[in-house]
Amino acid sequence: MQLQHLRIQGFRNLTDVDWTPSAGFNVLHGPNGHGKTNLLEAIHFLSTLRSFRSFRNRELLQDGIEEAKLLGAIDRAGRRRTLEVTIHPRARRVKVNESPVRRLSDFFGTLNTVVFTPEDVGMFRGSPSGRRLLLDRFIFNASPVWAEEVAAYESALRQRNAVLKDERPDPALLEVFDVQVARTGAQVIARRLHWVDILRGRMAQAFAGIFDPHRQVDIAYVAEPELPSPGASSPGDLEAHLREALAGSRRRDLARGFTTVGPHRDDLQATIDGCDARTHASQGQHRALILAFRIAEIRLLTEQHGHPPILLLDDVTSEFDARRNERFFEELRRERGQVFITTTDPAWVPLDEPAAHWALRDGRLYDEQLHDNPSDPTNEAHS
Amino acid sequence: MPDGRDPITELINQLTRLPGIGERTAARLAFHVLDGPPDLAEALASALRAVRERVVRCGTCGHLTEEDPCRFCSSPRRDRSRICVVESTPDLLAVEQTGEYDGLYHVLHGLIRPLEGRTPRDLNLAGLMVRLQAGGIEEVILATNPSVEGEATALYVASLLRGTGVSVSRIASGLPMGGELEYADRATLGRALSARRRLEGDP
Repeated sequence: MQLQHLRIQGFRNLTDVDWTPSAGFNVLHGPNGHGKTNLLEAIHFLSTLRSFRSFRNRELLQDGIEEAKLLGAIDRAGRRRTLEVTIHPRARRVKVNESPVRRLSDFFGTLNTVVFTPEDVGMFRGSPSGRRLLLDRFIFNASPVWAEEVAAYESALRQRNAVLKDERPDPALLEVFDVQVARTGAQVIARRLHWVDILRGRMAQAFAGIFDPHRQVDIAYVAEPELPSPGASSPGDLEAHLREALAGSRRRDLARGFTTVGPHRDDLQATIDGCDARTHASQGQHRALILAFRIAEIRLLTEQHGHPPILLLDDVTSEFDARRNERFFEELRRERGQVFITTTDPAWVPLDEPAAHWALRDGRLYDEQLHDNPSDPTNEAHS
Repeated sequence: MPDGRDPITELINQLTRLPGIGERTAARLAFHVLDGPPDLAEALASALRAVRERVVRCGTCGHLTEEDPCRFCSSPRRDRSRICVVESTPDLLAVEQTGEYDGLYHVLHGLIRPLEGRTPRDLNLAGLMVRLQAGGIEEVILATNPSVEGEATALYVASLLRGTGVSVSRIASGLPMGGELEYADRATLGRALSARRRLEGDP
């Protein structure tokens, strides 16, 4: 999969970018605050319709501009498609091959990206919400209908919460939304369990192979109350389990005005030799854990789709020591996919093969192949 | 000061109150009214007025109609033992156009959406209960959308009908005609499987 061409208008400080990136490694450098991460964010938005660092569209729009536009030409196993996303303060519109899409699952899955930011390093130490997002983003890339399943669950959950917040909640209405939350929630849990089961072996393998063959790493899906045994985790079993859990928490939920059980509260637990990583892992092990997760993720997506996802690495090399950097890049080279790396210093990026270098200054992109091609100093990337 | 606003802006503002109409579409429509066929504005205005003045809700089923009772409720040819419950008048017309149904209808005029403050009290449910108490109804078919809110509304109506002795059914949801299994989402395919039916002729 390859992003062949990217056009950005009015997105954060990127006023007008018209860019043909390389099919391999793209190294983006420049001082902080000049738009490196914004460029990765734009590619990520084109792939997921979400930012990886903001929940408000307003923040994505350039000051004084009411509309931003992202336009990408994607080559996916020889098939060319264009994706177009228009972002407004309170809405977004999407087109595939210049036609509006009816179902979002027709849009998703065209451009698969995996993003890796410095904040990810604390992932297995931080809050459960970060780990849910980590897992959910992977599943999103692995199966496009996931977005619709999550949306159905969130919609049922919001309606149930609205009933809970009512002055005199109608028990019959609450019952009806318990059924909806349980039904849609069971789908969410079933799919998460399915993928955790596949990821855990791969993550252990990556950790042992790259970092420490003497430690046994594992991940597990954790729910409260505890899920039925793995032998009884069909969507039907999970739905019955959630019904029971919701009935059991109803009094507490009514008192608090929101739903306190369900997949929106679950967690992904990592262990090293059986000990909870949150409390027992060293700083170095935490870094290795997230790298192992990312490598497992990239390998699985490559198998799933027959080609590697596009990688967006935001200044991550500064987080790792030279040896881990080396290992990580060795891994990236193996997959031969398209990679976008931001860095304040290109020396951090241990590449011994050709890479395209680009510089970002004040939201403008410049071709930095100057070292290779000094005869053409006006080799600007845009226009 | 709304009175001092120029008429074009006012028309655009009013059009954006319609569902699915953003500011840009509203502006395009407004300028079309100005630049388009000369009789358009007058015809549109009188059609809008007529629809408000002449169309009423059927006192029995809630269908939007010029006559009360509506043509379905007053028809001698319809099966009066069955009621199909729908969210809206367009949904009623969609069911009617299948030609597969010759019973009566009941229009709820909305779905339960607690988040938007729409509770069962806001729906045309009391009218449905009155019709059932009057007797003669054997089956109620719940034909709301297979969305979270549509399902919840169907479940809620079903809970109201529990114990009335009326048979309650829900329209099936599953694969579209001419569709392909491979491209169906898991929820749809799962529903289609759990609601599978025996092939006719199979012993």
